[in-house]
Amino acid sequence: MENKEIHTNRLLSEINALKDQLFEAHSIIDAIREGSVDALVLHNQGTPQIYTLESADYTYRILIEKFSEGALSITPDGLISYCNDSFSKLANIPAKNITGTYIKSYFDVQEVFEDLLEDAEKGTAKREVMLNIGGRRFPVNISFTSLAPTVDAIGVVITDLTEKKQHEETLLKNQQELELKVNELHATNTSLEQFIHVISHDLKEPLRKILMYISRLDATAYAPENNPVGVIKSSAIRLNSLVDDLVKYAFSSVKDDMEPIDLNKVLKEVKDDLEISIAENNATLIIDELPVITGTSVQMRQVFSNLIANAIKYSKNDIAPQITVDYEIANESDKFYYKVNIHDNGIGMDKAHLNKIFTIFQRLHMRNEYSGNGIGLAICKKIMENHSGRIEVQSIPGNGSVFSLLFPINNL
Amino acid sequence: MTNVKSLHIVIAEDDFDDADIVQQSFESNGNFTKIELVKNGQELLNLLRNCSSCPDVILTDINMPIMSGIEALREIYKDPALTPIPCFVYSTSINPTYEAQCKELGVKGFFIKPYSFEEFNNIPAVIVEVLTAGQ
Repeated sequence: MENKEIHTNRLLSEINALKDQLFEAHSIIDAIREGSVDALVLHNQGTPQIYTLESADYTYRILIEKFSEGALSITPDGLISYCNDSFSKLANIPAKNITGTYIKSYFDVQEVFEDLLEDAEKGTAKREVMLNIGGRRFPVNISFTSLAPTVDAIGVVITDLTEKKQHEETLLKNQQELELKVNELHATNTSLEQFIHVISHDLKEPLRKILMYISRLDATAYAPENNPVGVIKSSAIRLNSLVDDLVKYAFSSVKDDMEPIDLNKVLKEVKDDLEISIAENNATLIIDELPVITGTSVQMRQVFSNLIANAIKYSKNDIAPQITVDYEIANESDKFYYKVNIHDNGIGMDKAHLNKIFTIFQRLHMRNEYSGNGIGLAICKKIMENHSGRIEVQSIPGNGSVFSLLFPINNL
Repeated sequence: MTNVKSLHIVIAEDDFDDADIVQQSFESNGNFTKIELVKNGQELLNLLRNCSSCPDVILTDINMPIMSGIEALREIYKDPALTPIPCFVYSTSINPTYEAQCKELGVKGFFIKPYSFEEFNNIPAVIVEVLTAGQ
């Protein structure tokens, strides 16, 4: 009796198992009919075999087939059931030899595959990994997209990064080289600055002594006109000022920290510095409202100081110098500038000379007419270049000059 | 407290002419009873480390052979026994790097070497002024 019952139960469970198998078989056939399955993998004595269907949806198939990135579909345990042309080319293996193999075997570090598989359960997993196919290692971007629950498979897209990596490496190498060069340049500039200081110190040391000890010479032993003591002294003073000016010129291209500079403040300081000269020459200095520019205050002070001192120096004998500083906004091919103008009523310059005056050591006058080393305007030009701007001049002989400083406006 | 009427100064100067002039300026000032001269930074340090009656104030040139004024000052400000002595520097030209280093070390004053004998007399006068103000 008991034996019969056991027997019946066994038969019932066998029937149930068969029913399940039959249902599964029907489902597969239905799926194939509907075109939602385009390949079957069956294990035949341990060897996986792929069965594909001609009736599969061609549009999607061709898309994947011709896709410029490598595309694979794999079973949940990583068996490759489909491989497109691009991946076959990338791997340099015919597609038919790739399908049926395990994707894991193409990973350089096989643990990465397990990671990707785990992450893909949540949807899509992306990594930059190294593949190793037939001993050839190359970087790729690989993505696993779970196709569940529609299909129990994973879609894999592989992008070759070999070229991109090479570009990145070249870029990085170039950047490092550039940084090295910049550092070298900084070091060179620093040693050059020190060199200038040492040279100026060593040149000025004997000059200072010449000037000091001249005062111990008896100048009264000579006739007042062309007194050699006086000539020696004025020459030494000139040489000394030349050394000072050359140091200033050398430092006018030094880029200190650029910061917002209120030119109103700079002009007030310059006016104070030149107070004696302004008073002695009976000069009038009118300063309009000026903008705030980006620059270094020391260099700005030097530019305005040079230009205003020049305007006083090159004034007409019989007319007191009148100098006006104002500004306008200039527009040149969609670039905007603060154009700061320094107008004077001085002797002016011939048009033919205008392009020469910013050249170092270029002078338009005899030294006994007007003093100077011919460095001042060269310094101004260098400083303006240093401020990404420029200096311009307009002049009518006998009618005065207008020097214009153009500062780029960054946020307009 | 330093008595400004009887100051003891040590001056480091490698140039004989300048040493002569600067010594005369300090002599004529009236506040300096003892003026010692050394020829470089090394001699300055030797003097400071072996003195029984030590100077109240130091004046040093920068560019000197063997040991520069800056190097000597670095040693002085490292030595707790010497740090309290007020230091002054003078040089032919201003090298902003040197000037910044001197300020950072704690130097009391920085002079440019004058172009006339008369102006040399300002150096002791300013030093006395600074020392008096510090009291």
